Amino acid sequence: MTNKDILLEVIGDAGERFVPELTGKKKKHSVLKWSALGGVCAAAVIVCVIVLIKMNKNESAISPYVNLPQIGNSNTKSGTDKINPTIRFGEMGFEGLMAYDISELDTPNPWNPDLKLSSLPVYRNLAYNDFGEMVYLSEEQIREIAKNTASALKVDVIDTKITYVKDFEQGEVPDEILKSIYRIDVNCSDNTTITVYGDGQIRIEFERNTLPSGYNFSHNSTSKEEAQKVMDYLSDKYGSLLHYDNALCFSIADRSFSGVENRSYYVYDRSDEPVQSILNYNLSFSKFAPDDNGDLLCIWLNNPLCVSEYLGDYPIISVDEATEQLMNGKYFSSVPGDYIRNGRISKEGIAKIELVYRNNKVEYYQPYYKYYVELDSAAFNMADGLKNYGIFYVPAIDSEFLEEYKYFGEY
Amino acid sequence: MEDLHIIELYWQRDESAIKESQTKYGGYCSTIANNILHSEEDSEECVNDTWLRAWNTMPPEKPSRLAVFLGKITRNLAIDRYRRDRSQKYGGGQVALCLDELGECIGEDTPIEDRLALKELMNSFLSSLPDKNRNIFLLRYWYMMSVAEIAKRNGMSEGAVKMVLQRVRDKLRAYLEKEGVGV
Repeated sequence: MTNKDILLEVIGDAGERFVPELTGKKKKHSVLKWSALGGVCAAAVIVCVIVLIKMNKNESAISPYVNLPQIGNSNTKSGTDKINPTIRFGEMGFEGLMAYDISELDTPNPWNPDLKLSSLPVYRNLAYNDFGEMVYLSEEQIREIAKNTASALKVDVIDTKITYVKDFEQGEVPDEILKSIYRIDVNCSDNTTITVYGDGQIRIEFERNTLPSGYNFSHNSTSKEEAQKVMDYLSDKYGSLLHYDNALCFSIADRSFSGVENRSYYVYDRSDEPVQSILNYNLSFSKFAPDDNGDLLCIWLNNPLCVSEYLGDYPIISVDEATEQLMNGKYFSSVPGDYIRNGRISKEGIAKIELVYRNNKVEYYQPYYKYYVELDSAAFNMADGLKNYGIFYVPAIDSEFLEEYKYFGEY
Repeated sequence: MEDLHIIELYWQRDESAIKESQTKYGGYCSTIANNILHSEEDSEECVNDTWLRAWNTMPPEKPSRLAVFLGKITRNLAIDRYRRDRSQKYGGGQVALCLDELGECIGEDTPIEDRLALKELMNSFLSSLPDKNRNIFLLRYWYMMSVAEIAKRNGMSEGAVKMVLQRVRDKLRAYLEKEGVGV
């Protein structure tokens, strides 16, 4: 370890009396994914589905992404490139959730096995690179997204700041990436800050955006009915920003091991076309977050397909075929093998199956079957009656179109 | 809930201590982790692990400032993760920048062996600083906050913040040289 590394550590050990309090902005991140760590476990999930159908009332507003490709589900072609399905997980904890019964978990995922889909689209994420920096858009494109966002919010731009990858990155990173824009921060009137990232993601942060009285907006103490009311209001208020034709709001509430809810708030554009709906739900959704005072802290807008290349529609395997692979140990998961009941996944242990597209810094946006498998409860120090469901993924694309890869079922 | 009561819950091995910590300091710890890792998913994992570490540490610890105690755990976890996964090139985090800047304060010719002594010197140095300059220095190198964020929090321009940081680093370098550290 170098001396400057040691100095950084020693500063971390500074006397407590010196460390300043952080007041004002508090960024609270809602938890979608939980890590069960030894005897202190994660969450029970209660999913509350709030269905709200609204027409976009502000027809004159333009979408922040208006001049970027909006990849829909028309003009399809058969995909031919081989796809790498490997999933890389983090090293801390594993993906799982806790519930008293799987029926507590309900999501508005538009996929269901009765759709009997035989193929699904795959996209290459043009912002992906091996160095972890999601960059692709030009300065002009990013500025336009920011300008359109400010316009939709009816705020004025005061100043902007560009952060290039080279401003914080070191090491052997190609010049092309170093010179790319990582993000542009735009300070606006009303103390609003718009941040647009190189992959097109938008983050809007408010200084004090108080909801009218009668709305209870929080992570920990908002009922599903209250959440519905909040999202009804916010989805309508920011309709010109979201630019959804058919906004569907939902919230998901996970619980800590002691039962306190931690609620997250989402909205996506539900389409009459099932595949488009699946893509919107998994990839192009928006997220609203409260601060500790019940005010609106920030809005995230995702539209990764605007920086993606459509590779084609690929044949997918059936749920039954995927389940057989799962039970034969051919899956991706962060769940340690020790936690699987009897050391092997059985059909009886499968509590729920979904089809999803993963969207966390991936090379390809491709479908997976996502399994919720009940784990060995004796392995966890949980409240009586709680069950722990580990998450397991099986690639949905037919293996004929997948690159050679190695399954790894545990870390 | 007051910090004293939360700490008491840990000592009583009452698992609601975790709930209370999460409620009161979840956002605070998330901010610290995200400043370092700039990855929501990874930051959440760090914060979740913070509660476990806190559970395993209290007792026997009984911190006088719970926020700083928990924040320090999160900071160390996030830095460890940053170092371990450096090949994955975390984007947007401030660690690399902070290390570069602190590199101005200390030479690399002589490895530091006595960290305890360095810690005492650092506390002595920090106590000599005016409150405002010390706060800015620690917002940068303890919380790993960006210059822009520090400027916004203190109602200053970024240029003014950079000036303060440069002066404090210059002063730290002179102080450490005088004490014969890392020369």
